[in-house]
This record gives sequence, C-alpha cells and structure tokens, in this order.
Amino acid sequence: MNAQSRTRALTAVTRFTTDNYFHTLMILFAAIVFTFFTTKEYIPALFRIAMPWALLIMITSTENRRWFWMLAVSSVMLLINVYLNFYVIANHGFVIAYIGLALMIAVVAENGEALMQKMALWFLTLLMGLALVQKLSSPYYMSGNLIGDYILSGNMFKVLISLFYPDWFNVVHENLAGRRGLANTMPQTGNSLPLAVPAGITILIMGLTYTSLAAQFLMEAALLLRARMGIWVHYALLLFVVIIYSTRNENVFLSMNCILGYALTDEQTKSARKFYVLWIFYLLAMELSGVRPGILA
Amino acid sequence: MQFIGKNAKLLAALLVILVTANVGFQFYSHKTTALTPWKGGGFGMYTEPHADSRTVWLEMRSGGELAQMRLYPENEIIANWQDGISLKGGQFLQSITDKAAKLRYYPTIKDADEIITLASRTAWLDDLTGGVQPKVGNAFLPYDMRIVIYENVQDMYAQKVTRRIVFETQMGGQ
Repeated sequence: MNAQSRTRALTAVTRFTTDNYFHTLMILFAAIVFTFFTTKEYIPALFRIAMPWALLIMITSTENRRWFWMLAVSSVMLLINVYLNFYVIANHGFVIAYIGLALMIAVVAENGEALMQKMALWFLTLLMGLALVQKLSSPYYMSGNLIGDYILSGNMFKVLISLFYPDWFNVVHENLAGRRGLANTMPQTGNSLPLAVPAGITILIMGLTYTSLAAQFLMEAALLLRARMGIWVHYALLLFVVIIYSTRNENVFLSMNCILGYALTDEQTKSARKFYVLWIFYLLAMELSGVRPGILA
Repeated sequence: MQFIGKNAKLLAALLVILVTANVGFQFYSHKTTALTPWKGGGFGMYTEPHADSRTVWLEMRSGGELAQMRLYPENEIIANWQDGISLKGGQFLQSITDKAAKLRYYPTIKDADEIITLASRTAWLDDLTGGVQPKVGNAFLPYDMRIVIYENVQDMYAQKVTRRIVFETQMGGQ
C-alpha cells in the first residue's frame, strides 16, 4: 500500500463517517457492543452467540427500518443482561443499553438526528454531572485516599513516578506485599498494616484528586455552554477522554463517551466526527489486544 | 415501530427519566446499604475502594472457639480440595465460592443465608477451620455461622491500610 492509497483510505473513512450520521453510529455501536458483550463470561451464552449476527445485519443495512429492528433485538439482550447482572456488571453495561434504546427511538423519529443529539447531550451531562456529585459526596475521594490508593499500590503512573523517584518500585512492592499479607491474615489476628508513603507524594496525590474534579467540572460546564463553545466542546470532550485514558484502562467506558460525543455533533461541528471514530477504534483495538503504552503503566 | 416513531420525544424523555431514576436509586442504596458504588449503574466508580478490595469470610463458632475461613478472594486450600474431589463435590464448593464472590458487590441477608445454608452442608477440612470442631456431627450448624465482609481502606495520612467491616450477618440476619 503506497502513501497515496493510504491517504485515500483515510479520506474515505473521514468522508463516510462525516456524511453518514446514523450509519456510522450503527457501526460504532456494533463495534462497542461486540467488544463488550461477547467477552464477558457472565453474559448468557445464547446472547453472546446471537449478538454478533444482529450486529452484522445492522451494519450492512442502510434502511432505518432494519436498523430499528436490529437495535431492538440487541437492546433487549443488553437489557436482559442488565436485569440478570444488575449488581455485577460495570456502569458501561448500563450505558450501552441506554445508547441502544436511544438509537432505536431516534432512527424512526421525525428529525431523528436532532433527537439523538439531544439525548446524547442529556446522557453526557447526566453522566458527568452525577459522577461529579458522587465524588463530591464521598469523604474517601475528597480526602485524596482514593487516588492515593491507586498511586501507592502502583496502579496509576507507576512508570512515570519511577522516572522522578528511583526507589518507587520498592515502595509499590512493599505496599502490595502488605496488602497480600493482610488478605491472608485471619481478621481475629490483625486488621491493619503500615503503608509506605514517601515524603511529598501526598502533594501529588491531592493535586491529582482536585485536578480530576476540576476537569470533570469544566467538562460539565462546556456541555452546558455548548451553544457558545461550538466545536470546542468536542475538543474538550476528546481531551477529557485522553486524560482519563492516561490514568486508567477504562477503554470500553471511554469509547461510550466518544460515541455520545459523535452523536452530539451537528452540521456545524461535524468536522469532529472523524476524531471520535478514530479514538473509538483505537480504544477498542487496545482493549481487545490488551495492549497499553508502557509509559502509562 | 410506528408507535415509537410517533411518540419519539415522549419516549426519549422517559428514557432520560429512567436513567436519572436508576442513578438516584443506586446513590440512595449505596448510602444506606453495603452496596459498592462501583455497581448498580450509578456512575459512582472511583469514589470508594473497588469491590476487589473486599474480602468475604465465613465464621464458624463452637463453644468458645472461632474459626475464620476466607471465601473470597480464592482460598488456596479450598481450591486444592476442590481439585481432588468428585466433579459434583467440586461444583458444590465452586457454587459457594462463586456466591461469595458475587456477595461482595451488594451484600444482602438473603444471599448470605444461601451461602450459610450451603456451608452448613459441608464437612470443612481441619486445615480450613484451624482445628475447630462442630458441636455435633461433622458440619457446623447454620446458627453457629456468620458471614463477614471486610474492605481495605487506606489512610495515607496515618500511613496505614485498615480492614473495616462493611457487612456482617448470622443466619436470618440475627
């Protein structure tokens, strides 16, 4: 493949995803559902077998009527899974079911694009806003201990911190060994263990705790002021997804933020569509392959 | 299909209300029960320790003695025992550990009772009970058993991790 045909291929993707709003949403929805739904062992096997076929019919069709029925079939499976595993599935199990229902309504509605944009806005605003409320109402989060938990056990920025603090791997090792020991200790013989907290690290932890809150607050504000911000609300959302990706491996959940971002675009902001599509496929490819850039480990 | 098309705006509004109601219900449940904020569709992830930091223990009493046996995360002795017995016996033990793993997300008396009932039909190995023997026969009575769920909570200022009880119950919630 030479450079010219590569450019042509990318142009074709850009053109298709920019000009075919609902068809692209079907493809994105199918890609996310395929990644999420076929890999979880708690989902009924019959559904895992049936879902790819419904998705195949959905993505190869160009008729709203067929999209509607395939969305109905896949949404029913997603909803039954939510019902069966209400307290087991992660939040993205709920979100993808909501997106399926929203698409199902929008593809048969008059002025469906405008309705889908509205629902995407509501979902994003609720998602960001309620997640922010949950954080503000959690003393554990507000004290910095939640982020501290991830940092001190090496589950966030382990490699990055080690570049500035050479003994960091030993700190992480010590803390993880302690936790494993606690899990193996009978409660009647001991219920606490010392935690290695190097000097100065709490400043970084508190900084990250409040930066995360501020980012979420600004994102919420951008969504509410979207009419004034225009395309910048999409750049803000894409940046927000990049920031979260740099901290946690929540690829499926982030791809759902992106599909909602795509659904939020209109004629004035459709130049952002290609970025959402590329990000979603990057996130899903990384999820399926289990690869994550080493520097973010 | 036509019905949905005609009532699209109303259905979209109902969907948004449904999402909000679910989040409200999850938020309330998390604040009033041992439900982890990570589950139940309330977007409360990354606010409290993850459910994987919870450990599920089965306590068995006999006279003044107490046996404590971990059911989640995997107990190596149970796993080894399971490998060496019949398929049916292995499945029975697996069902206890599977239920315990699920219980950590949203512990309820009903689900804990189920585990206790199954556990009371098992003659647990001495290695698991630390040598504590049942009062009668070779299995502990349901009313001598208790399910306790702990959660690891970090306090970086005090420089320690503490295991706190988030749920405990005896048979029938006593």
